[in-house]
Amino acid sequence: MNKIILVLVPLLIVSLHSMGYASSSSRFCARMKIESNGNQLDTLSCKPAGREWMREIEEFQDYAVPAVITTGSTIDARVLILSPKWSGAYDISSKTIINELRSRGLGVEFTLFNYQGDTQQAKIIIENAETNGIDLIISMGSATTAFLSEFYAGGNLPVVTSCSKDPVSMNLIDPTVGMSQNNIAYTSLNISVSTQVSYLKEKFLTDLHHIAVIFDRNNPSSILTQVKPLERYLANSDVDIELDMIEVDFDRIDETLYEPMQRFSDNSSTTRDRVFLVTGSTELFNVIENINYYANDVPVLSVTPSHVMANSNSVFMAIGVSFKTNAKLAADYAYRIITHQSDPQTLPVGLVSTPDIAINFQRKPPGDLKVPFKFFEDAFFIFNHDGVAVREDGKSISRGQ
Amino acid sequence: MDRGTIVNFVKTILSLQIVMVLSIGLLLFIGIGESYRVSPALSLTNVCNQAELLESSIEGNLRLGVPIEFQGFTLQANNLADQSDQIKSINIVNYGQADNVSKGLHESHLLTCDMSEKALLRELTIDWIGLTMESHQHDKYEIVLELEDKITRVGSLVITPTDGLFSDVINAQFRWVVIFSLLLIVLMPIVITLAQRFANKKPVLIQKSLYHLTFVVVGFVIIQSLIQLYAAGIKGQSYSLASSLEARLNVPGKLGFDLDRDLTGIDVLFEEYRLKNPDISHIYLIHHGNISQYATESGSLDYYNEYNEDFIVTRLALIDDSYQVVVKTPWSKVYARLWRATRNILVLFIASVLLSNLFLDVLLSIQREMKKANKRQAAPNLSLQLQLIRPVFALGVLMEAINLSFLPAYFSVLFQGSGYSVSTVFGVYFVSFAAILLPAGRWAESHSLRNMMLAGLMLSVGGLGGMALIDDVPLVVALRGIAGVGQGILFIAVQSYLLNLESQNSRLQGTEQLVIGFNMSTISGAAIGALLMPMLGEQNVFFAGSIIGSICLAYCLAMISDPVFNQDDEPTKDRRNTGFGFKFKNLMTDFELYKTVLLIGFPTKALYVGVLIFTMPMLLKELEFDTDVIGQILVFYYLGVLVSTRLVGKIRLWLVQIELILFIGCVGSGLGLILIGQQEVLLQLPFVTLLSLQMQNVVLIGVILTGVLLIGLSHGFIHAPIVSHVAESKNARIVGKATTAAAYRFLERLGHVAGPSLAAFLLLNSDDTVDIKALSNLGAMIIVLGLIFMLLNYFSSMKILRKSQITRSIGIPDE
Repeated sequence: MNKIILVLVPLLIVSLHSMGYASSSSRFCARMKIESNGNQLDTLSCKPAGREWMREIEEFQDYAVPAVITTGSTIDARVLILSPKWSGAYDISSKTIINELRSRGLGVEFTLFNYQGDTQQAKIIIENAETNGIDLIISMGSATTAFLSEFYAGGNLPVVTSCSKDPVSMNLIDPTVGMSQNNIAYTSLNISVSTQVSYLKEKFLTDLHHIAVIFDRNNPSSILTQVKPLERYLANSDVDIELDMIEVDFDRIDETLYEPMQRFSDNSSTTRDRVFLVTGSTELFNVIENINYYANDVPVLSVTPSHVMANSNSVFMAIGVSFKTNAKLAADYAYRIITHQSDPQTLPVGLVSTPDIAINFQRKPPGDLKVPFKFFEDAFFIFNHDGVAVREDGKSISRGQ
Repeated sequence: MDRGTIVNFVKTILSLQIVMVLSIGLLLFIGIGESYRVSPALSLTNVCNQAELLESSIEGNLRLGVPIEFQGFTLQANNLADQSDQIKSINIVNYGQADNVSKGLHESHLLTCDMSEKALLRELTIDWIGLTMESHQHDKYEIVLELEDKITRVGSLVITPTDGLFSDVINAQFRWVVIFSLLLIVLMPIVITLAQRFANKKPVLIQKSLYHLTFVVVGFVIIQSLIQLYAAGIKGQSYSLASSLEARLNVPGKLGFDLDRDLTGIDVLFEEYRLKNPDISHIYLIHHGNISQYATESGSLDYYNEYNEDFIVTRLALIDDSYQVVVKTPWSKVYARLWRATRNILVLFIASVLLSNLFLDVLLSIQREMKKANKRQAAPNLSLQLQLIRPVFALGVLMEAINLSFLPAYFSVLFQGSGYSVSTVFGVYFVSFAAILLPAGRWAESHSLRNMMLAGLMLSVGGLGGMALIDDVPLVVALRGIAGVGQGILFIAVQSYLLNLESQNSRLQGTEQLVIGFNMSTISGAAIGALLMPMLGEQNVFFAGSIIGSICLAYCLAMISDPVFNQDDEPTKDRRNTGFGFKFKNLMTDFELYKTVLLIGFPTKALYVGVLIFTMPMLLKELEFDTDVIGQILVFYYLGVLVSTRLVGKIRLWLVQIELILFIGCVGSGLGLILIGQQEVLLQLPFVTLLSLQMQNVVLIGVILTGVLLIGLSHGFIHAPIVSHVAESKNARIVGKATTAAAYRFLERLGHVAGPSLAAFLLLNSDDTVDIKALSNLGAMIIVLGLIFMLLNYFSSMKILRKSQITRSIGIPDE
């Protein structure tokens, strides 16, 4: 019996190890369905990473097993995509980066690793990356970017950030310099405030004089990257727009959200001189139906394109940066660094100059408010007056009669 | 009719046909060249409007995140290529393949949508065979448009235009023009010769009139063809633009939205289109018969009448029939483009009339000589010698003048980074020209003028021919030097020849012929060269110049003999004192020469180079005139000189005093400068300020043209008479006319050299802009110098008169 146990235990260990190994990489591979031309590409290979990646990694934690996706028969570069958690946004971002570099003719071996918020594991995988011939690290998400900025600024490998909030607002770089001056090239998931205001005031509502910004007091990152920059910009510019702060405390929602909204819309002599601007927050979006109700005839806009949804649970229009567009910018930075066209320390913070627009005509306030033709052309999501999508992800949807 | 008469008859017809082939051929060449300048640009815009519609649609999708590999893009591209008459195929290539295209792996010529007419013309090959018969040999072209998403370039659209897109439409339009012209070239000389033979009165006038009438008819037919070409091009451009708008405006309708109810800012879109296509004056959207959104040039819709004959109208209905998009282009835009072509043809007509007149005169003279030879008459007379020498100088100057319009620009490119400045190379030419004048003048006194002409022409041909083959910087500098020496020798030889003829018969006006020849060839050469260069390229024009020079050389060899030596002109007063030292001493102490040079000759030449060649183009550029208009304004100067030089020849018969003619020249050129300098004052006059901006511009052009013409007319009173004036001075009789005239030319050339520097000092502000009012001051100075000249002459003649009275009173006979 003892002999049997002696034989079985190592076998069990090996098989458990193999199962974990396989299941974690297949999870990555399942999430990373790389699509092109509307078809899944079966030319991309997705497999577990080699043992060289497992040095000092706690092997029985399934999340810790990296996956390797290769985009060509020859390998021109090796890239590590480092994520802090499982997230749909990170999936979109990673897929976009893989697709972009592939379509530019680069054969890249991507190693994807989710460190599940365990920075010790992240540190080990970075050390492994340095010895395993990685050429570039993609930092996925604001948490990874903050961690790498603290731990790996000045490190040996170049880093490009993706799906991360504005590094200036997050105090990661000096705003007067506008670049890292080290091995990290930053991109921003936020549109510049001046672009945002210009789109609102110059291209949409020329009579705009009041913006009521709605934000969750318990969401510091949205305050830091969306509210404060807008406040600073309006205070220091001559655009003649007053900013009303609606700081929402969900324990006192009537008092902190609905009442201020009602006051703001009641004070309106004309509905074309004011807008509500909802900041990126899941909690706020959960009460969007009520926000729309209290807005009356004042348009409700957002800086997060994902706030425009089908049917009535949506804002009227969003002008911001989508995960996909930001990832394209990150891919461009990655391409330039891999091909030695640019140096990460001199690349400016990557800002998307033409924002992504999404419109839901069902949420268009009553009256004569019209959408600018250019916004209509540029909108990657459009929902019609019934809240039904007529353009999704840039593609028109034809519906038979 | 005997055999000899028939042979002469055929020879005359053939000679006329050769002259017609050259002049009408040139007119056709320029007309076709003009059509290649404008029509392909319109066709390219048309193709680009269609391609940019596709580009904008694809880019719109790329910005929305659709990958470039999306098959729908290829389908869209193929549909457009199938529907369009101008597009053969469209390929979408991704980033990697796009690099291959831009590296020129294809054998096609690469075109871009923003390329200028001039740049496009350089890429095109004129299909000469296709102008007379159907041709299937076409160059391949590709238009590459970049495809970008929100971040970067992701690929390219490679558009292949239909074979013969640029040439077929021109060939179809011009084929019958070429055939018609060929018929005229064959038949008209027969008609002209018959008319000349049977006309009782003024056969020469009839010959020239019929010849020029042929030219006018061909010119008219060419202009008519250009109108049709341009109108078709602009209509196509307008239609493709309207189609582009139609496609974009149809999208909301397809998705179930209403343009008026749901969307705004369509007027902004219209305005973008209008600004991108400046020919278009109105774009608007009609909804249920009313204008809903619009963009117009003037900001109003006063011309909202689609049947208004002033416009080319394109009207397309959208998917929702209640909407129509309307694009209007005024016919005036067609005429504006045509005006440029007409202006060029007019200038060419003037150039051609001047040159063909000269050749017809020579032809007639040769015919007369042949008749005389048949009748075994004596040696050619002076008048015939004058007629025969005119083409030598005319062609000699023409070969250099065809470079005038582009030489500075050519040098500035060629000498970039070489360490040589453009002005240095120009300096080499003028210094060589000036340096050879005195030795050539001295040489002309005792050697064969014909040989000098041949030597000068050979050097000029070598200089220009070398430029056509070589672009090595030091060698080009040397070649300019050789060309300068050649032109200097030719100039002095012809001048001496003419002075010799004039000394034998003052009615021949040899110096006038020199001025006329110079200005005529300058006008013709500059006009022809400016029109040829875009089609042939600089080096081919140099080559054409050397061909003209070679023809002139052959003509000189065949037709020119040294003039019969005139005993009166020989400085025989004191043969012991004919050495160079004596002559030099006499020249150096000739007060009359210095007075004439300092007060009249030097200022005139300095004004010509400093104001007209150097400052006036800068001033006209500041006033926002186009380069070709600037060139054509300056042509008025040469025309003025031509007209007044001929006029002076007649005036001199009754206005004997040359000094008075020179004074009139000074006053006129001064007044011309004052007029240009006071343009701002004139534009402030009450009746002018009430005029529209367009009319004020017309007044401005009128003032400048009048000023330039007045200066030209006045310089005609100076250029020829001043040489006669110095050549008839007391010293000229001692040192020889040729040497005196050459010495004068040398001193006068200092005005050429100093002109730009003096102009910069007197007329330019510190920021290199032209001080317009300073022109008036300069004009006043010129008049004052003329007055001083007259006063000095008055005192000098009074002194001579008193001396004469004294000698008479004491009984000594006059010399």
